Amino acid sequence: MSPADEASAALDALIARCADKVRLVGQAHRLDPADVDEVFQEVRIRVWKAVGESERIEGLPASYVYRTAESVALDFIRRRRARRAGTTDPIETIGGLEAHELQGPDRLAASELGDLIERSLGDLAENRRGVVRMYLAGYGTGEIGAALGWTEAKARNLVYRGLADLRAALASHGVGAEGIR
Amino acid sequence: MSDEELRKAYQARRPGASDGGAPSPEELQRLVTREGAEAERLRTLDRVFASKNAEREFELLRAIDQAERSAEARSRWRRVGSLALAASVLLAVAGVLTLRNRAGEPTRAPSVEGAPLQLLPAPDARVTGGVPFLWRSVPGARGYRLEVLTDAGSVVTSIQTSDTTASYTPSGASGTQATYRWVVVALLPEGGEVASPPRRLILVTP
Repeated sequence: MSPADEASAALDALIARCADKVRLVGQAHRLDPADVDEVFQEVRIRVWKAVGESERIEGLPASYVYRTAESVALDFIRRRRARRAGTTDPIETIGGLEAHELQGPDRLAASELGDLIERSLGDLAENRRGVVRMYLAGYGTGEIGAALGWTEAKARNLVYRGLADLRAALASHGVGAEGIR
Repeated sequence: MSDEELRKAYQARRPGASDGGAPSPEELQRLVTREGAEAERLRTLDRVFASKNAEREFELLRAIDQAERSAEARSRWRRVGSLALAASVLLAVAGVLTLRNRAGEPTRAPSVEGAPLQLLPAPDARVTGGVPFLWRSVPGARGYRLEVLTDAGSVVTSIQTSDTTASYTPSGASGTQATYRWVVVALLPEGGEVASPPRRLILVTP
C-alpha cells in the first residue's frame, strides 16, 4: 500500500469512528443520518487538505475531527437555510410524527391538539417555555439538564413546573384531562 | 392528559408558516456549547424547539458536541488511568522496598540530612564472622569513617575510607555474641562531618 493509500485509509477509519459516535449520540432524537454523512464528507476533505500525511493523520486527536465537524456543520446549516429560503418543505418531511404512527382522524385530532399546545405554550413564562418544548420534543430531563448545564434534579423540577403551567393554560383553552372538550 | 399524550400531540402539530424566528447558527452554537447568559440560552432554546428545522440543526450540533465531550472524557480517564497505573507502580515499588527493608536492604532516608544512607547490614542483623558494611555515597564527601561501638558507646573500631564499603571481624572467644551499633560519618570538604543514625548489629565471634 502506498503512503497516500495508507494515509487515506487512516483518515477514513478516524472519520468513520467519529461519525458513528455522532450518529449514536443523536439517534434518539431528530438527527438525520444523511446530515451526518454530508458533514463528515466535508470534514474528510478539510482534514485531508490540512494534514494529508499518514504519520500526521495517525497522531491526529479525535478532538481535531470533532472541532472541524462543528465548523463544517455551521457552514452546512447556513447553506441549507440559504437554499430553503423561498421554498416550502412538505409537511411529511418536517412533521415530528411520521405518518405511519398516527393516521386519519387520530392524526387530525393529534395535530389539532398539538396546535392548541403550541398556542398554550405562548402563555408560559419565556424562561420555562424552551425547557417544556424540549421535553415535549422527546428529550429526557437528564438531557435537558446536560444541554443547559443543570443537574437532572433542577431540570426535572423546572420541566414539571412548566408542564403544570401548560396544563393550566390548556384548561383555559378548553382542553382537560380527557383531551379537547 | 399524560406526559406521553402531550408529547405525541405536540410532535404532531402543524408546522409554523416560516422559520423566521429560528435562531442563527451562531446562537445555536452558543446554546450547544453553553456560552452566554442562561436567560439568553433559554430564549434560544424556546426558538429552537418552536422550529422543527432548527431542532434538527440543533440536534446535529448537539450530537457533535456530545461526541466530542465523550471522547475528551474518555481520554481524561485514560490519562487518570495512566496516572493511577504509575501510582500503583510506585506503591508496588515502595512495597517491595519496604519488604526488602525488612529482609535486610535498608532503604529509609537518613534521619540526618546529608548523612550517608546505611545499606548493609540490616538493622538488628545477626552476623557471624567478618561483617561487610555498605552505605550510599554523599555527594562531595572526601571520605567516610565507619565506627563500630559497643552498646555502652565505646568505639570498638574506626575505619576511614574513601570508598562506600568496609569490613570488620570481631575478635574474642569463639561463639561469643554481643550487641553493637554502627555509624558511618561523611567527611565533608570544609572539614565538617555528618553522621548517620546508629544502627544495631549483633556480632557472633567465629
